Amino acid sequence: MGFWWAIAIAVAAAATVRFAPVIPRRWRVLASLAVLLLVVCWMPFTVGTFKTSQMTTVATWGIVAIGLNLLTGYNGQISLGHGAFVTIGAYAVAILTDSKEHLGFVDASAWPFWAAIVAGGFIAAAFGFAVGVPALRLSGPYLAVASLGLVIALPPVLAKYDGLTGGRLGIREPQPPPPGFLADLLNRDQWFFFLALTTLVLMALLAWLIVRSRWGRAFIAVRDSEVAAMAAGIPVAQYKVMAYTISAFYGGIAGGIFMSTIGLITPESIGIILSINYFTAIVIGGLGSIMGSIIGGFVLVFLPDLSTDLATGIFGDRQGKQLWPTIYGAVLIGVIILMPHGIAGAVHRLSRLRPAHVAEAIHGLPKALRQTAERFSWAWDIRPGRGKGTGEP
Amino acid sequence: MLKVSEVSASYGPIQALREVSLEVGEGQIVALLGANGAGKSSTLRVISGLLRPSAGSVEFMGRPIHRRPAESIVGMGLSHVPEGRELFSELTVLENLQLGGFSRRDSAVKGDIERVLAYFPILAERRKQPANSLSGGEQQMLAIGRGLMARPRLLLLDEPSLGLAPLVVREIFGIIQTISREEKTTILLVEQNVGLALSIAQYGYVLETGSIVLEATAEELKRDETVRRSYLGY
Amino acid sequence: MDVLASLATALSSPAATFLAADPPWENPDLFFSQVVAGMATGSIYGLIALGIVLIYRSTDVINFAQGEMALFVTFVGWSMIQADVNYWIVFFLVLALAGAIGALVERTVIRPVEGGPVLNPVIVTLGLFVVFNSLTAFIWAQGQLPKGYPATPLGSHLKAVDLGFARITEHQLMVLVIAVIVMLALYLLFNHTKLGLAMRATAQNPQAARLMGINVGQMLMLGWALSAMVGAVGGILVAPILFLDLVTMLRVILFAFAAAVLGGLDSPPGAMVGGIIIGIVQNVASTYSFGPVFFGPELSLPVALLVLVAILLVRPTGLFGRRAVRRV
Repeated sequence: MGFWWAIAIAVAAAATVRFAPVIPRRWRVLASLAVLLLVVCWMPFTVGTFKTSQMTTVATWGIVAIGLNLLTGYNGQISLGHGAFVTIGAYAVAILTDSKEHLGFVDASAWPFWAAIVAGGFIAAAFGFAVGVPALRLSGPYLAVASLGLVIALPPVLAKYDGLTGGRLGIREPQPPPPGFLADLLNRDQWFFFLALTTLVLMALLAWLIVRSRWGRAFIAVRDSEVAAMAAGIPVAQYKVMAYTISAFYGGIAGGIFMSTIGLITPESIGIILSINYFTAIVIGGLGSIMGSIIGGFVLVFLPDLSTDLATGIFGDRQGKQLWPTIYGAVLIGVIILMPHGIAGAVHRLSRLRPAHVAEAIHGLPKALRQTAERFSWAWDIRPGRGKGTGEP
Repeated sequence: MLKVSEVSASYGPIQALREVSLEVGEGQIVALLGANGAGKSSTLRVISGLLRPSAGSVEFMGRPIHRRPAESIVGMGLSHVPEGRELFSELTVLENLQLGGFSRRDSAVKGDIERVLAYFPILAERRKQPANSLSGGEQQMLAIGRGLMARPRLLLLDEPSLGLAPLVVREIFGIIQTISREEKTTILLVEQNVGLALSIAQYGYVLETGSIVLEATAEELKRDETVRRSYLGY
Repeated sequence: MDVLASLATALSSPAATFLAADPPWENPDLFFSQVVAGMATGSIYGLIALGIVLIYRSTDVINFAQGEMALFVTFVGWSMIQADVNYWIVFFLVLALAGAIGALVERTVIRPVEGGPVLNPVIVTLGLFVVFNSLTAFIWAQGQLPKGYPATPLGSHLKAVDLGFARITEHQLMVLVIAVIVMLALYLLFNHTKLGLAMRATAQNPQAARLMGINVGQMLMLGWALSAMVGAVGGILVAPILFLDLVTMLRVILFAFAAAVLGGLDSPPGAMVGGIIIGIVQNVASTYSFGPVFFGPELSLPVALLVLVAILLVRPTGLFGRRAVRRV
């Protein structure tokens, strides 16, 4: 069964259930998510190992994206350096599960994986706290550049203290095997996928609870207006640091999953580009939306492949393989222009369409076309001196 | 000079104006009155081109302007002093005035700066200071002065009394009257302070939730029951 | 562990450990040469940073693609040089092309996202980064990389010039001269021309600017065009030193961002000052290897970033940036 067919079925099934009048309204969202999950669980058995491992990556980056979205989408703080927390979580798991005693001054035996992953999350959270406090002073582009500095500065530090971190070569660990009762049912890639997926679902659930709680509301209040939040008695600084800490926790957990499913962590494993891409993923997927974060992770993993396919399709094999980044970049730009609130935002708007809206849109089509033509009249209107365009800027 | 016909406009799903019609004759001071949110500022914004009407038309000196972009309307002799002044806060008084004359192609601009400063002597003292260092009243004067720099035939004034002390407001309104007289500028004045507005205007319109509910000469409005009760308080 | 070992060595023989070269009081010529050379490199960072600041000031957008756009047009310049076109003609043609591209980018892909969610333009510029870099690779990477780009005819980058107290290459001198000219030109434009006034007004209050008769859209395009042109100058000046490669601007852009942030994102002189500071510190630190002496040269980047963050914490909007006033 082709991968994309499976995806299409999953989305279609979920959408159908979401709007099916048969199901009582209260259960629709839950039911559609359940259907989606069902199809996704079925996929590793039919789509082959490479696609399964890609889906594992989607789940892993999805965890990062949810955490980052809590920070940026719900709380309004930018982080381009979240890759650092992922790296920290991965290293934590590598060191803690290491039976060769990386921690030279502690005589420790290897931790079980699940414990190491959780610990990795908390260690990353501690770093998140440490970063979140100075981050209070900065905002906007200054915060963005400072956070980028974090992920740029980390690899040399990791490489330097190789006693702990294995230096530039990193640490290679055997990955956790599937538990006994699953060992016969799943191959390695499938096991890793379900490990990542289970964690993703748990973390998504946690995020949903956070968002719906007082904390979530406080985050959003701080994002929308710090001054108003302060006036309402919300301890802004506390919540901002909390948001950073929690989002770093997510990064750490994801790093732990990364280490478990890949088996190797080096200082450059995550890298600057991937770290920036986490940010891109949540904006494209949809800020302030948990589902959007997962969609963003999906786009992050599959857009390069799709771009390559598109590029080779348009330009032929050889040129296509060189031009795929151009298509990739163009798609990013196109998506964000057409869907200013991300894919989740666009889906949300679509889902609120009523027949009346559609009728209105069709009715307004000729006028809209004329207005669009007017807006782009500058392309063929080369009268010098006059103000260009006749519409509003 | 200005003819607004059946103009409707909205901000997204919110309808701000419903078939508003008004006329301003040459040399007049006409008041546009109403409570907060009635649509007074929106009307001015439609006239000056900042807001596109969904229906209706605006004619200035006989020419339709409702489809034109805002930046092209100033040059026709229509100047809008927006609500809240909207000065260029970090630029100096002088630079703000220079920008007021931006659309003019003639060379009398420099001389005009002195003429405008003559109306507002206190600005002359502060000509090199940034706009955000001025007091509220001074800022309003600067905004009006900036609007005058375009040598407008029609001046749109949006709530010049907003946020100002009564004494300052009186001074500014006196200057507005002088300007109307000396420069022969037609003025469309939007005001919440109905008493003050009617004291200098000849004609007035009353807006309520986006529609004109009353129009009459200033004298008639001052005597009108509803106006007296709702807006003048007696 | 390394830290203790370094500390031990340092304590036993200070001067030899701290400095990898003769200290300034023994060899002032070297010191000042490094400082002036650092100013030259820093001017290039400053030029790119200036482009970033110009766009940020006028549209509140951080143009992550600044470096790659400059790279692209510099490569175009290379092609023209290969065709034996005169250096200065190429210089100005590249600038014109950069201006056109900048304006076009603003009008087509930036304008649609200007009014919406504030993070969207970031995605667009990131996308532009990828597009320009890959287009450059596609068009010019078929041949050999890196490619050489000549220095200005007025100053080779191989010959040294003696300033008395310092010695730098002719090219570095030209960089300083051109940087000064650019700063002067921009100053005159913004503070003594009607157009510059209009651009400043548009940056502060676009709606009021429209009421003055200013075509805001044109001002925005102009801002992006200027920024691209300034970036192109930076590219042309850095190409002879770093050679034209796909990664050439990647190294520069990082420092340029640091310079822009250091100087304050809404301060053009700040960008140049920030760039010069970074250039000088970079040069002097690597010559004398002081600074991260306890941590080793491999950590010079993290330490430098730490210093930048420390400065930001003290001045959250950069050295010369406007403090954001919270209006209630």
